[in-house]
Amino acid sequence: MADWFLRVTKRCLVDDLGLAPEAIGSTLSDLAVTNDILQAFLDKRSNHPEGQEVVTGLRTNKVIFTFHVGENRGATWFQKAVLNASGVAITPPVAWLLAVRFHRSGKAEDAYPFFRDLDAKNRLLPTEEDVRALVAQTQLTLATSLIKDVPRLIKDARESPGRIISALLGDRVSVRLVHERSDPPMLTVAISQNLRPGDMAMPPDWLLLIAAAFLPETPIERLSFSPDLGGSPLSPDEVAFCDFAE
Amino acid sequence: MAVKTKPVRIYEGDQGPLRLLAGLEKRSPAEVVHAALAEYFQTHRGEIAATFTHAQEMIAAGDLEGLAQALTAGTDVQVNAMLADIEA
Repeated sequence: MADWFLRVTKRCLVDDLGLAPEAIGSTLSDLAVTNDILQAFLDKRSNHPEGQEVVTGLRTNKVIFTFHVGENRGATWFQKAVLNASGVAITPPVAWLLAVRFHRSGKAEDAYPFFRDLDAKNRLLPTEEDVRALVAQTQLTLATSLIKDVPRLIKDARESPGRIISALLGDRVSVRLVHERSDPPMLTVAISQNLRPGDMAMPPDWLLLIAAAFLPETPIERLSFSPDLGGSPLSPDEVAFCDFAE
Repeated sequence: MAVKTKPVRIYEGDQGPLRLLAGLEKRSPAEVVHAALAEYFQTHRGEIAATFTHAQEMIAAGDLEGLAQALTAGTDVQVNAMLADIEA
């Protein structure tokens, strides 16, 4: 998995690729299954968030790269993580696909004049709707993972007592858990506070939400912090919770 | 209890009170911070319990929408920072 998000703007999805507006709520990997251009964007920008060839003649101060898919040209922008005053990332890095057009060199309908025209009309870069859709979709993916993946991880840990199991929930949260066959048995889960992709700091409420998924029966008065993970040291970015696993 | 070295930044103005309390109580600064944290948890137990219990209920009910909504905490900061970066 790339250490940045890959997203397509709604304008590009609808106007350039002919998809329904609702596509903005889908993941790129779902959309790419039936679209060669999106599959190419996924393949190329998963490895390198920036390209090699820059689109020239734009008004924006962003560096916009092109990518080639057959005779089509795409315009992409890598939005790096924004840091707060303390140097902590408060946004994830995102590689955006901004526009796609058939390349007809020298023709008015060519991709490059099209990109410049969009830029001149302030329609090239992501909008607030694009950003909010990205955030909403990542939250939904994480929520789905808490409901669907966590029970399976707990089951796996129970079936392999003493073994530390690692997972990435909803492509965002790294967790490690271990089931110890002590008397009584104990489940410990270590949750990284550095969100993927990038190293964005986890919002404080998330820690309790994720802990609740792993310890669904634990009354709050029995919720304990653990200084280690089944005897193994925690990473500096991890917070661990534990409870009896009966 | 085992002690671990962690760089914790404190406000300049809190350094004096921390030393004063440690001296008065004949405790180390680590013990004062530990006691203060325990008291803070006790004071905020209700809020922590409400968040944790509500999350457990949503997970038990498979409430995807509710969980996604609960995960919106702090996202305005993220959205605003991304938009400001786009407009910069």
